[in-house]
Amino acid sequence: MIAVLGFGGSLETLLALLCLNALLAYSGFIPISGGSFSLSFVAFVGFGAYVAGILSVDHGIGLAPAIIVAPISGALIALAFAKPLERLSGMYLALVSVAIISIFKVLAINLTSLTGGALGKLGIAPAIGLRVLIPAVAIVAGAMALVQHSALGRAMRMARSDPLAAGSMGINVVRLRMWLFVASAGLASGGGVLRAYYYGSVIPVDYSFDLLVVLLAIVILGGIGRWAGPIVGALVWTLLPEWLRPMERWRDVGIGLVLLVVILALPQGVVGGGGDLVNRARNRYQSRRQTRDDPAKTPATSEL
Amino acid sequence: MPGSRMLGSCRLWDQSLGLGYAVLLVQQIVNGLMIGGLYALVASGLSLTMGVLRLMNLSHAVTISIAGILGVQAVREWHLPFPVLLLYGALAGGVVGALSELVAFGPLRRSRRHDSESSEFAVVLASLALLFIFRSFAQNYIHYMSPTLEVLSFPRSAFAPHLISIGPIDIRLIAVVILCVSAILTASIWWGVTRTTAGRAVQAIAADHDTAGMLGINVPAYTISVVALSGALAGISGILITAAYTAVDAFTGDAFLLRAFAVIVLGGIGSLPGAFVGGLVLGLCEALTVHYFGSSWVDLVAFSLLLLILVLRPQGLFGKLEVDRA
Repeated sequence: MIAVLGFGGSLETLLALLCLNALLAYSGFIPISGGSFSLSFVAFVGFGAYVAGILSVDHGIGLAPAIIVAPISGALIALAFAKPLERLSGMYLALVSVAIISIFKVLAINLTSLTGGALGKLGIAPAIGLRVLIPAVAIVAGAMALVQHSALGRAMRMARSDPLAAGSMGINVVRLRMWLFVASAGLASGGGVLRAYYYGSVIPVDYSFDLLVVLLAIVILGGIGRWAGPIVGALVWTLLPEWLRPMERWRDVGIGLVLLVVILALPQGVVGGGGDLVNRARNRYQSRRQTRDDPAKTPATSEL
Repeated sequence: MPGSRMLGSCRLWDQSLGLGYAVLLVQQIVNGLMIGGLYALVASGLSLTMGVLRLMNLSHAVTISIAGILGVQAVREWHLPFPVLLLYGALAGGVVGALSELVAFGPLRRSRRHDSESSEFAVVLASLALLFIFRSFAQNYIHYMSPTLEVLSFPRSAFAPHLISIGPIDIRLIAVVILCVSAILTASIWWGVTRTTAGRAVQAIAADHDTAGMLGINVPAYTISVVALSGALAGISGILITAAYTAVDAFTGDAFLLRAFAVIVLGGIGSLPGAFVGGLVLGLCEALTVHYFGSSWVDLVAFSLLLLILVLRPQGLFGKLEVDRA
């Protein structure tokens, strides 16, 4: 199976990378599915990772407390940030998110006594594997599937496709997006803890603009507002560099072209676009069966 | 004065530190203005597409690198004089911009016309895809020209490191050039957008894409011109950045892109005077931060300034409130 997918490493590495990418992408998926450009979740991924690193390396406190403390404190910090961010939307919010990510990185590098500076925190133990990561992704994905088909999911969809109409239907779009931001920060912090435990280390450069680029690509590749999107997006993103390995130095051109084609050809992402294709195929099949059952509509060629 | 060590600004007036200290400070300020001029140029190019087309073009960063790389090659092979080199950079950047619009942004805008859901994200991701593609080309080109270093140095013959001496203060000629080019370009584009017929057409497109088309404005032609102009600004910045730092690689533009984001928020999206003043303010603040606190805190001050502006004056220094907010 692994050879079919074309992945160079072991199945376990592939699945772990997939799980981590998907898990972190879900925290970006939440605000984006509510139509908000709130991208500062990457800073909260870093925050969670540092909470795990500091608790484990400096205080000998293990995974279980960190996975409880980090999401709660991350969500509280997000709540404090939410008020000034509340009145921003669109590109302004995206710009501010980039600023928050940059500030986080500078703080992580310069608050040496707390964060270990540019070297970060090494030796976070014990390492976790698939036994933790797969259930974590399953829980988050399941929750997203439930949300998508609930009133909250419909409100998010409305806030995304037409905020004005959503407002006139009695949805408080600003409030909704604020809570989505808080939820995303909580999930991102939890994901950050797991990421730190998987790699056993936290380094400030890992939590920068580059991680945002990767997670954003995964969310949009998979499809906004579709619960399976981040998993499928993560699968494509994790395997794409492996498939394009023969391109050697030109691999990034291939990645860029695939991204561009997906964006242009599948506006709803791989999941949404795939769903569309399946629906279209089913419709065609059904209409063909109808014509076969109805002799009046039988094409002339079938009489030959 | 015991308190003076705590407050950075007091040190300027501390006579015991002597003339050398004041000279150093002035040179830092000049340096800050030079970097600020570069930020202003990069930001005005980005701000133009954001204001007119709601297009946040991340590949702006790599356009800067591409122009710098082509500029180095042009100097090495054809020994172009510096003013011609600036035009060449503008041309290269303009071609990259026009190409992006033709291949990615234009088709995307047309296919998503009736589907505002996810269209702004899609444009950002399309520019990200272009960033991957163009950066790979830039990396391979640098590899081809200089297989060992992965970085190209700017030949001294193109722009010798002249110094202008005013009393004890030495000012790099390139700093003066950057400030002049930046001021002239932002002022003339601002004039073009606000005072000419073509500029009014662009403003109409910014206000309402579809209505502008119904009024007989050739929207696709103006759109591609705006993106190409933005690319040309990136190209000129690329040449100037390469000359100022005497080197270029495929990632040179990235730091400027992030700073330009801060500058755009400072000045307001789509505001060219805002981009210019914001760029200078940010450059100065950074230079003073380096002077008083050391270089590792530069990013923090830049982006904290941004957050402060957002809390105090969210529309930017020169912006109008109507642009894209809840």
